[in-house]
Amino acid sequence: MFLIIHRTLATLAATALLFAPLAFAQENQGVQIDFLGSYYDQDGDNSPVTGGRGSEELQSISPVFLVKYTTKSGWNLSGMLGADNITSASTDNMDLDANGVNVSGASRNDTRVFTNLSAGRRFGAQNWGGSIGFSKEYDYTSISAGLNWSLDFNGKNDTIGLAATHYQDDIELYNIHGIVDGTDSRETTDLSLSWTHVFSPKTVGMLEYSVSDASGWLSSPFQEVILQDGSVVQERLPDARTRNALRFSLNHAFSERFILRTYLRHYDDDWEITADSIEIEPYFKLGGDRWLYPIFRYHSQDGSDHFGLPETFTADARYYTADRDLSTFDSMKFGVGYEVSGREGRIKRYQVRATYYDRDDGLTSFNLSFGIGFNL
Amino acid sequence: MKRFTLTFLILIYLAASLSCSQVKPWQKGTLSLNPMKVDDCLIHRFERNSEVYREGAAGGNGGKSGGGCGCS
Repeated sequence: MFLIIHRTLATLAATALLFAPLAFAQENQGVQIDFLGSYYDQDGDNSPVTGGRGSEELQSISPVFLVKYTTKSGWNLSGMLGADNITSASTDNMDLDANGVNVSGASRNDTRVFTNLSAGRRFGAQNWGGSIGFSKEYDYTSISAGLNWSLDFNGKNDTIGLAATHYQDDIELYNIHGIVDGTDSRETTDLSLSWTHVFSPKTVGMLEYSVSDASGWLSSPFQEVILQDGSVVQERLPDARTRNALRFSLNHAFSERFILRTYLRHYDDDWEITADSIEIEPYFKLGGDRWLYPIFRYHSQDGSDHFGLPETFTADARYYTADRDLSTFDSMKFGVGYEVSGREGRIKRYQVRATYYDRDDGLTSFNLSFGIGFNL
Repeated sequence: MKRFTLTFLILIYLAASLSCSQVKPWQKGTLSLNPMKVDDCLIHRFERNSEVYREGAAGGNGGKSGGGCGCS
């Protein structure tokens, strides 16, 4: 019954999104449509699906369709529909099921679909908004609901914002032998508090604190751990996790043609992971509203004690995983971006980013993403 | 050390926020340029998504922390 409701909601949301632009165009109100797409290619040799040894090769293609409509009465309505099509070689390394069928998809392909609908309106100096979301993967169904609020003050030079989102996920537990071993659930609540401040006509900054609290089934049951005695078992992680992050952004225009965007972030959680990230994007104006910018990002992470290399843990350990995403590492990202906005004609904006990611444990990835925006 | 640096920067942010004079609406032309927006550009979401899962560190504009994976 619950599954039927999920499917009905997804179908209704998709239908609404597909027909929304036509309905909006008739009223000739502010309708924005954006088509986004991404190609992601990853490789590495430490897949947790095979106990920390084995290929992490993976490609993903993700189309996303966004619609935003502003009504005469000032409501902002928006919808999103998207999908991740993943050639998940790593997941495909799960053992075959009892019938010899690869549980991750007959063509080594998994698809995750997701949709989100939101509405918001300004009331004087305040903005109120809400959203609902849905996503589905072969072993995963998720629904979400969120609220957000913001307040402008000091002549609109300061804005404080609050946002809360709750996720309810249902999981089919594919074990390391590729067999469904029951179902479980996960609940996640995200809260964020932000403060944006205009420092000068050329400088703006933002400080954001966020906390995320998750409980329920938090491990990936198909991920393996190779114990000291050579036996292979399912990873075991706590059933609760609280994560904190503090973000600091500062953008400064040195001139009308050169803007520097900076971003700092500190993260810690109760699985003993701490991390710091820095991002720098200097924007160079090419003329008109065309901008070209290099991308640089550095991330340093101290890993969880729950992580260990293959043959580190014994069966007596309370928790263990071979997932390098939870380990200690440094990573770098380089790339370039290009964007155009404020164009004449139907196509109002387009943007493209290409980045290369290199983690010091051998994981590398390439990401190419683009977006085209129309106003009806 | 990293935490100290971050705390130091935040204190500078707070001090600067309190000391700056108000910027008038007619002085905000540059602030309206796209690169001056403090939020990520639309297509940055794809990189955020992969970073969240490949680094095990979500939150703080680091992308969603629930609602399925899409990462394998």
